[in-house]
Amino acid sequence: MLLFSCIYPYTPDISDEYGRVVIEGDISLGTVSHFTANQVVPFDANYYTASSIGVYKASFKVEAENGAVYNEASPGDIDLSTAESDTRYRLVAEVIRAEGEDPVTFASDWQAPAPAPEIGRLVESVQDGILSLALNLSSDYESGCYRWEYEELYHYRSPMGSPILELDLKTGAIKDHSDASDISEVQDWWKYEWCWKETGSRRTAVEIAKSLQGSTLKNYEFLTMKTSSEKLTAGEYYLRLIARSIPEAQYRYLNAVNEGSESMGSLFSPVPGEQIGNIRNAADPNDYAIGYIGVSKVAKRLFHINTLGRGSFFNPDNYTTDIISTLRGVYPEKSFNELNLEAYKQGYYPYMSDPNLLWVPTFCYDCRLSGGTLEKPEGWD
Amino acid sequence: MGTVSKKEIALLLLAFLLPFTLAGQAVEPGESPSMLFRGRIATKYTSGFNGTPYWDTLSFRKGTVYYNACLYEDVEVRIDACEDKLLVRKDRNFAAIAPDPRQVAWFTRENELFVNLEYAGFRSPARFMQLVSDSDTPVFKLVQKKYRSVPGNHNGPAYIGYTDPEYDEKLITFYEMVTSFWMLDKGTLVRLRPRKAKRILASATENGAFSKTIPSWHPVEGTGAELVAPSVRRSGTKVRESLPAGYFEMHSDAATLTETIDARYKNKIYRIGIAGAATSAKIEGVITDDEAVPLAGVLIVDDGSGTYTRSDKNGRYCLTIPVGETVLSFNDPDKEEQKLSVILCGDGVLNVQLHDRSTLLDAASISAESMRQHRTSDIGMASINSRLISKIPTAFGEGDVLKVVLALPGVQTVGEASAGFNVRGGSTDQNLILFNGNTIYYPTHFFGINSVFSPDMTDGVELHKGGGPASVGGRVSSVLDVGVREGSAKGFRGSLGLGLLTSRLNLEGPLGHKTTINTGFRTSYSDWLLGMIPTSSEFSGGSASFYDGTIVITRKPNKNTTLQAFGYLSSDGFSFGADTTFRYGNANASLHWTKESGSWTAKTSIGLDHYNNEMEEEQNAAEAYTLKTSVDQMFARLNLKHPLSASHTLNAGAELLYYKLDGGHRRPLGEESIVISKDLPTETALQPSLYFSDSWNPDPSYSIDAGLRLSSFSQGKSFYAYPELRLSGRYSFTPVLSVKAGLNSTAQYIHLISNSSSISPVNTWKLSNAKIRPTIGYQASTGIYWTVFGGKVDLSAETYYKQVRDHLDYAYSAILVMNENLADDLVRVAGRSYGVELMARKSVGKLNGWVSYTWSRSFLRDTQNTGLMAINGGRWYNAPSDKPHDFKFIGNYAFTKRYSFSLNIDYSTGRPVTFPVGYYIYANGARLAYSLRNAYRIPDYFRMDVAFNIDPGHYLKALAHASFTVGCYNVTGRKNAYSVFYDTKDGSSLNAYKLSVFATPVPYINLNIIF
Repeated sequence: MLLFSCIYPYTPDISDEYGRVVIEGDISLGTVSHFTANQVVPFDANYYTASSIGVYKASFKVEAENGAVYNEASPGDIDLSTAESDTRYRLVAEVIRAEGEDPVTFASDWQAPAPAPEIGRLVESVQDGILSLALNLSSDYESGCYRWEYEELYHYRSPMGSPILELDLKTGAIKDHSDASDISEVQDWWKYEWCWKETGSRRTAVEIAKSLQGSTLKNYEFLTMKTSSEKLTAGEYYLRLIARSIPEAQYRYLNAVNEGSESMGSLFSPVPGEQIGNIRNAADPNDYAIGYIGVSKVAKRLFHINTLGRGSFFNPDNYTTDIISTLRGVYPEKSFNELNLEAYKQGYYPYMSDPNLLWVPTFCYDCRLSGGTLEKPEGWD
Repeated sequence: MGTVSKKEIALLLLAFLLPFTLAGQAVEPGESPSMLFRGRIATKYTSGFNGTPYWDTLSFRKGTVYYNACLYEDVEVRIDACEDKLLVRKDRNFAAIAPDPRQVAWFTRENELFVNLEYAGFRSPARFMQLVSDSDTPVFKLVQKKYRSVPGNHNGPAYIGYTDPEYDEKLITFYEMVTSFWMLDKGTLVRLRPRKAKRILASATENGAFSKTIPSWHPVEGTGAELVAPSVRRSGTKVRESLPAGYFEMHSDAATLTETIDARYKNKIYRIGIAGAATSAKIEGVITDDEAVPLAGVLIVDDGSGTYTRSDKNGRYCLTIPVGETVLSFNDPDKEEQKLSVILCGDGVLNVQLHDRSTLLDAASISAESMRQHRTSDIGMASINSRLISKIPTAFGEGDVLKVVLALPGVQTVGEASAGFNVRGGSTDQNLILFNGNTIYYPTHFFGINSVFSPDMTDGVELHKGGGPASVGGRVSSVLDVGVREGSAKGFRGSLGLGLLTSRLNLEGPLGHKTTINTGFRTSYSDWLLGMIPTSSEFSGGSASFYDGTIVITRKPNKNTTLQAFGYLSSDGFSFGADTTFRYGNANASLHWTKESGSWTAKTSIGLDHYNNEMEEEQNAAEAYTLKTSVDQMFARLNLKHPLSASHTLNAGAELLYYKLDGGHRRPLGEESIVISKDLPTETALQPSLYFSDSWNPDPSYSIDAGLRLSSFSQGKSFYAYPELRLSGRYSFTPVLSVKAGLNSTAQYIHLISNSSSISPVNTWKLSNAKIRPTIGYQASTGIYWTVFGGKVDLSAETYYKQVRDHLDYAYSAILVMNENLADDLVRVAGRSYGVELMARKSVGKLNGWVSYTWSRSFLRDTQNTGLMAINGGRWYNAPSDKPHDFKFIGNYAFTKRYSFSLNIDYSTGRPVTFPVGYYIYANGARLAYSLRNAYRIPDYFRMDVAFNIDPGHYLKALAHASFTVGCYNVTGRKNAYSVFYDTKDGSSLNAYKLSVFATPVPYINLNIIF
């Protein structure tokens, strides 16, 4: 059967209506909660865009059963640092899906907040060039289900250099070597800048797990990276773990959403289906919004991992003067269309507006263009 | 109505039996040459060194032959003493023919009389003996000759040459003559010692009893104190009208009321019993094949009264019918139809031997189907010709029971290579699958490509699409009853089948005089094929293999008792790559004891059924685990059968099932695994049932079967009991036009927990309890049956309406594995389905097969939840098996008896699926938004298969016979969709794909060797 089975592209004839509202976020007591609203888009578009999935307008508020109401401090952000834990909460969202449509009010089910779990130690292990991080969570919350996200900060060495331009990131001074008559004048053009980069937060995958050992999640491997990763080049790697306990219903919902999008089509795959969370149309009990709004207290813990010596570093010796010659030859007389642009990228920040000056080898860039900062961000101590 | 039926029957008899009228009417050879001279061309001996292979002379002599109850005069005869055959010809201008010797009652050669002692009911060393003494103690002369090879002088071993152009003409031999004399002594043939023979012959000669002229009697009928021979004319002169009383009695005690008759020949009148005052009498007996193996499921119909019955697993039957003249029909799909004229005087025994049919789906098949349609009340029932199984093309060539089942109208599957089947809109777990009475919980190997039933071991397959008779129950959709074949009683033999993926071996034979054994073993060798998959493939490292074995031992200590031991064992293992491994197996064993006493037949069975599965998940060492579950079932059954009167037959019995379901065990796998062990509790339950039913056949034009099954179920504090109704009736407007109606209800207490498209080996079973109610099904059906074109074509139309309550569907985000609160994830749903099944079946001639069209619908509705949480808002939605249009064609064209061509066409509407209708961003990824449950369909299904079959040759002396099947599955290469799914190819774009299990033509070749 394995020899005769095949997978073919297929275009189904879908005629369903689209536009079901999707609301995402969790009511996180003791911190700022963030909520978003978007919508289901037709399947015939191969690429989604922010404009196609977003709704025209949305506003949010969190209501407590004791009468307290928490409104948005900024779009999508609700400060719940003062919210009490002995009452039940729900999210109320007013959504105008498209311009000209009437607003629709959605509300999540009332829920008592789940207690914050205790974040245990982070366990590191290295094997075959892979660094693995495993977490430990425990809670009195009986479901044994957790949801967590993490943020990362690392100090790294960013290669800088160009035979044409020389940029000092700290002062902004630029030296232009394009008129140099002798290439030997710019042989020593390689240098490094130390940068910080903050990743994670809402840009990393939100993960869930159900404990197999009562309510304790023990040594659960959740993050791996190559030891040659730039994250490990400087010896300073911070990881902030934000974890919460969730009810089993929410775990199931999120798990089913994952499986429904990933595990389909094989012989023994579960029959997929639309998942209905806990967000209803306040005016129509037979209408719902996609999503599951959890209510919980949040635990945070910052880990500092000394990675010095693990990362591998960029070696400029691997690059010859041929590259330099090429760059000099094409600057500024030659059209960049004749270059293999895949090997180049926009480089020096101050010259972004002049395309003739933007192209440098891929290993040579301004770390600020990819989210790096020259100073350590606040909030990581 | 009754008058019409009798006329019809009379016309049929006249049409078919006229040439062989029972009164011994003389027939000129020229008037009906097709009968006597239709036999095989006589064996031709090319040389001889020591006389002739014939009785005493090479020459033909004038004679008379009593063949098939007809007298053929003025023909030329010669006797082949080597093969114990009579050779006849009209005159020297015609080739010599060896008519079927079983039909030759006697013949004369000039002034000598030869009698067929087998025909007369004797266990004789040869068929034909010459009657040399017509005294009170007749004496027979037997001449036997043998051929021997002459080493180094001729072409090899002792072949007999044939003039048949298919065979080479070889030969060689000299002949060794053996002449012996036999005496009929008190109903038994006794071989005379030479000295005694001389003395008796001398004495007979002296007393004038020894005659070289034709004796004054000849045997025709073999039983009964009032035996009357038919009037026979020879050259216009009657030679004898009666025989001495008791001359050919099988039993010395002529006063015995019950006479045993071995009916092996057509068109004889069998006189049964001794006349008395009773108006009805009972006929019982055993139906066997050519090798004395009992035949189960043979339909026996009294054409006079319309009463019918079926033979049981031991070939036994019992029929109570009015005394008088009638015709009994014996129908089996694999055998030639046997119609026996009977004069029933009193109770008696009529053992019947049915012969193999010579070609696939010949007239016997249609006869059997026609009989079922017009003589029985069965509705929604289909039997499967075991020979057909090997003719239907399958993916890898090996004949398969389930593939033939899927070719029947009203039977569907969710896709190729999927285990299980759906009957009339039911789910896969609503089919009770029995293998010789044992329950099979997972019926397939190899992801569904092969069924667990080895084609060599099966004998008789019946599918009841309406819940089955009252004697079985426990599933609400259907009963698939697969019989097992007993071993041959006539010597050891076997077969070997070689296919692309599997091989099988079958051995059978006698163990002593009263015991037979039949064993079969299959194994796969597919792992080497999988080893050829490139390492870059995601399937690299995968494996798939299975084996199974079947054994059945049957002992018959006496004619009324049968003991049988049955065992079955299978094991499967496969993995999709190196990470996940599945293993599962069936194990079944049972003992059956059948006893006949008077008019009662009792069958007692006890047995064990076991199914276990195991999964090893090793994708992540820290989360690696093993998962095991199992099902154990013990059963005890008692079935009783008793004819109450000429028109009533009672069936009653009891069944006790004991379930032991292992909830599941999870264990860490490997030292790095942090998975903790988990055990779910074992469930046990008892399911006792009682049943009784009555078959009422007051008139050939109508009949009613009514039954009641009282089933109950007890698990812990939960107790359920339901009366289940089985009712069906028939009314025949004419012998070829009938209507039927049926109504039944069933209860099901065990449920398969699966929410995948195809049932998986690791799916678990769950018993009903306080939260999971039994599933209850009701079905009403009607049918009209019309046999047209002189009985060549059967037309049928059946309709049904079925309702089910408390069937199980699954909640959104249900967790089905190792879930101690499983009931919370299940959803009770109601089901309804209805449809029309049209079928035309042609079973006669070179082209035969069937074409069917089914229109049906099947829906489910959430009855547990309301509002938003109800599946599809509580509205009716398509069941997974809802495929409204279903067209099937099965055809076989036989060019000759050896060569045939098969064509299979299958079209159906695509099955319902839940499609993604759009996508959205959630939890940092693109997610799929789905339609309502089962709101869309995959593309329609179409497949055409072809096969060319070469059956074994007719070399009688060959050590082995080989047959080949060369075919192609999905010859058009259509890429039928098994499923449609979506994938995120580059992290941002979503693409739709369809999975085709067999996306290309699949050629195959299969070799079977019979030895």
